[in-house]
Amino acid sequence: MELQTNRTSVMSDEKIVELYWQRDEQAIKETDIKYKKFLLSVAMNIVHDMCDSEECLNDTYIGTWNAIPPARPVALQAFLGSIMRRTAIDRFRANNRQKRIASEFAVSLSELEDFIADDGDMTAEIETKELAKTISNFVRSLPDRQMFIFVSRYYIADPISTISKELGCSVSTVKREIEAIKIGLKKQLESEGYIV
Amino acid sequence: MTQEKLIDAITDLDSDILDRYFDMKADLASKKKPRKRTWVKWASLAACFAIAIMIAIPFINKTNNPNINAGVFGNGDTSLFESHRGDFTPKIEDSILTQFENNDEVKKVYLLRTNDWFLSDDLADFSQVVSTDIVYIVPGGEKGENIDTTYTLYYANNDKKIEYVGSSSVSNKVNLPYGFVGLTYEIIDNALNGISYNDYVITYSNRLSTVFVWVRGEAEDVIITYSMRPDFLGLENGGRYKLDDLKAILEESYKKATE
Repeated sequence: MELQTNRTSVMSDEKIVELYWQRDEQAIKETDIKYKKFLLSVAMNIVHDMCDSEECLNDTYIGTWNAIPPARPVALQAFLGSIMRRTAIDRFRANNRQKRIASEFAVSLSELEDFIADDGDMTAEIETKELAKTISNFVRSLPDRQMFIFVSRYYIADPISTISKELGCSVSTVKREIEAIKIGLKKQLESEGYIV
Repeated sequence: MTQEKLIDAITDLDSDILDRYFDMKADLASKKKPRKRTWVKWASLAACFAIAIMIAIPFINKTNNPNINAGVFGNGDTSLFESHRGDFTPKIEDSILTQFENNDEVKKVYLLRTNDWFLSDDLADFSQVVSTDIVYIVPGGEKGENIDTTYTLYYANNDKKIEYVGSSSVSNKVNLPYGFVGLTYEIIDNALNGISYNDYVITYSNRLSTVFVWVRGEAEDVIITYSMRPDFLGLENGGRYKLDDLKAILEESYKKATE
């Protein structure tokens, strides 16, 4: 056996993106090698079903294949995560309509119920992109630690216990920080005229 | 603002924020202290995609084997290989080791029922092993890159010749599969503090989305639970239960759910 010649390594993002541009299917294999676990964890947090997550993974690979080119993402993980989140949320919504969902995503969403109200005339006209811009600006203004907690909890839908582990602090500390973030976000949304 | 808009708005977070997030995530992972028990890292070769397909057929065959015991909760998650403890030794045959040029970093791992990998010298979890097929793992990728996060995998064919299987990157997080996302062996180790036990079995119930740690105590057995939705089941994450008490709680939860 020749160990050296048989070994493979994790490919750099730049090389993987280049493979997509060359329409080389190896791009998907390399993406799978490098990011499958991450993408499945995003999907699992949202849909809470392994079969659904696997299907979301395949859809994400197809979506990525179709998106690159023309896209040339600088940060491939964020790019993939975004596609996976959209795909998994679509699945979540379909499952939710069938009342068969109980995921970390649903739990994290319930934490934001304070922000959710019936659509009034004004809010109905507000484009999602504007709201996204407001939230992005708010998150961008946060210190690194709070930004990390927000994205972990509400974008990736990580359990609080996971976040506390990553930050090396207690669950209650993270919960306190989440509350502080929510208060800040609420103020921001109120100041920009959103009904909360 | 509707829930739908909020979800979509968060999904549309600007990419520079996500870049910042992933940078920080990588930074946090790299700053983590070395683990005291190195087997944990080895044993957590979660979902090795590269070989998942290769093992799928023997895995299915073995799990269909009626001689394999069903789990304590009847969902087939656990097979008890009590009498096969001796099969899972960490020693690597000389004929195999020679092919690795006597590299002392080579480890033997086995497939778990959960598609995780089980390090041969971690006998505490032997009862989860459902296959005697051995995979040999070597730390590091091509040209020694990513030595902390990548493993190259091999198996021995019928002629005991080593064949390359693939490579796998390993997250610094040591998640157990599914339910209670974020559960790690370290958490379970902590939960076992103060319990005198002979052995323990970690099993996962798909139906209940719950990890059950069946602790085979010296005095009596204890079940420790980690559920995705403990509130649905009336259980506490990290809670310790006697089997009868656990059954009673779950029966009660079932009754409530079906009323």
